Amino acid sequence: MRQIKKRRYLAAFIITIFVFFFGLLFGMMMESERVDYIQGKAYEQKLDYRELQFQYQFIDQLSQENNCPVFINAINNNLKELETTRIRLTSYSEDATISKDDFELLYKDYIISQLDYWLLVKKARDLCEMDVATVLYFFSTDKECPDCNEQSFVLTYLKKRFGDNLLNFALNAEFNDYKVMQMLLDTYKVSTFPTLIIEDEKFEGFTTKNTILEQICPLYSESHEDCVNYINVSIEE
Amino acid sequence: MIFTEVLLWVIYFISLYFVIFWLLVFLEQENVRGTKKKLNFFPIVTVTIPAYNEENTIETTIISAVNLNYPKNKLEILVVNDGSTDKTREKVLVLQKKYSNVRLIDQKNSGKGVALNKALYSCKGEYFVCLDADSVIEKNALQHLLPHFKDEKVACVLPLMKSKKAKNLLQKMQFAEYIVNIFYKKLMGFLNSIPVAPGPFSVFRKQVLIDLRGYEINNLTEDLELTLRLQKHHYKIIQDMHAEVYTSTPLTFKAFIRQRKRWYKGGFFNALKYRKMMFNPEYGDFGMMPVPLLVVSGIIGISMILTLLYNILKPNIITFLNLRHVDFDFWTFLQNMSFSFNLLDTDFTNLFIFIIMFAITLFILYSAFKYTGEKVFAQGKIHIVLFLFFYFFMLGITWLLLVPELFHKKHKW
Repeated sequence: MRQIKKRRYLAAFIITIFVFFFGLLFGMMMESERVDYIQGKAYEQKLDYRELQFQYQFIDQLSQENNCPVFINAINNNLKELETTRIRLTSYSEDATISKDDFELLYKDYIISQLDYWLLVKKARDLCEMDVATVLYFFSTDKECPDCNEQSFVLTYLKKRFGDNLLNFALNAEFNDYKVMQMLLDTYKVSTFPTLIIEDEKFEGFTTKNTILEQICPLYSESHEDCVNYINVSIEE
Repeated sequence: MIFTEVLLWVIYFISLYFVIFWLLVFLEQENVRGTKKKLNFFPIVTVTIPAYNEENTIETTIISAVNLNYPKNKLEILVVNDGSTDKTREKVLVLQKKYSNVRLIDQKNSGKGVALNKALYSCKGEYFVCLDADSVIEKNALQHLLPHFKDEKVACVLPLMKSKKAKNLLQKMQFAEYIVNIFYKKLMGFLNSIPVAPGPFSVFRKQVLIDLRGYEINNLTEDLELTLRLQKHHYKIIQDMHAEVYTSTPLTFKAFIRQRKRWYKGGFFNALKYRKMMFNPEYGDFGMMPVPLLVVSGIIGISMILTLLYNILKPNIITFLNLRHVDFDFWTFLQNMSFSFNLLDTDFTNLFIFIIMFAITLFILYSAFKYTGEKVFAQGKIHIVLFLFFYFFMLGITWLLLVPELFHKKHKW
């Protein structure tokens, strides 16, 4: 009978388990760092928003319309930052093991931030003659909303085409236990996903690029390349 | 998605377990290289060179055997011409006239197994050596290899099988692989668990081969099959760390894949053939590690490649399908690409495990070069980097390409 040194097999197994254990522990430690990071970002973004609110009041109450370009620029930059944080938050939340609740709270906080900006843009549009269209995009999980991936893709594409002239506000309807989200879902009677609210008009299910263009193009005072192309194609057809 | 994640974790765990296991074996040893022993007995040794269309290399191979530092009257060199259609036979005849201990046996093309058996049953030697016709042997090889046979249980001794001077990156990577393989074989040798005695210059006790009825013909990897048979009969196999043999490695990727497919296919079916040894305590460590590894390495290779392909292809296919909604205007995406890197985005659990595994791999690589008398960067640095990061994917791809062939009813040996 040949020998098997069982202790060696066991030692290798225990060391492997230890490496995995420390790996998981390290991952968890970094998870709390991620929570701190997003919290820090949320705090920064709140300050940025307060600053914007002040700018808005300053322009509105003291008729300082010449400050509008700075204000609009700040809104766009803040929204870009907010979107980057949203993507990161979604990714961290999906990977989370022990901090799921923390990330959920941060996500709710993020929804409020989105809506704050949405309302601010609506108010500031006339005051500063902002040439923008806004889209509220209600989405859900892949399981409940198989078309959401495609809808996100189309909205991302249009955002890249229109830049600061198109503001998308993506809202995860999974957080329907949150009063604000429930209020929005009730207000717009959203029951299927994806749903788009383009300037108060509702579009249920997957909305094509052309349908979105049809809605947003009339909102712009200056002609946009994509709108011109869309109109030309429509006329030809 | 969950399935691929679980699969990846299982692969990580098994791979890390194997690496740690062999690291422990290594750390237990006091003298990995072993002490050189002086040869004080000179039995008759037969060096068999099976050759099929080897006109370009046969002369060098025979001359390297003739030049062995060993009494000429105790050294028989048997060339078995396996029905070559080129000038192999003529070249051997010329050398035969020059060196009295070179003998030629002709046979119609029947394969390496038949050629080796023909030599085995007609040779004079007490020790039988196979030397592939594309390999050359260092002149003191027998001086290093034969002393191991003083132990009656030893049936086979392996030399350091290194690749010949590399001409391109692929060959340089194979050089690194051969060095690491020698080292792993040495570690396996400490557990009496060497799974394969390769073709170039493994020395066998002839009587053992005859008792086991020689080589199996029609086997894709007759050297592996024979070694498994030796292990089945509890013979001892030793990896020597001083005798060097240099063999040719594939120069092109196509030839490399073809060679590996043959090896892996042979390994897979021979492992199935000797499956009763798998996890069988009667075979000690050999049944617990090397035999399962013949199959597990394939499963790991295939799983890794499939998971990688899934993770790369899935998002790209989705993106491609989504592009139809925007008239395939990918230029807009390319123009507006943006990256926002944050260290916190890293998967730290995976990173930690990867770093540990990578550190052990580097240590093994360094030790392998050190104990085989080579320098890690002697042939450059790029091939080492490629070997560390991409070589295993190449092997995984080979396994993947092999899968359809495994399910053929008839296997072409």
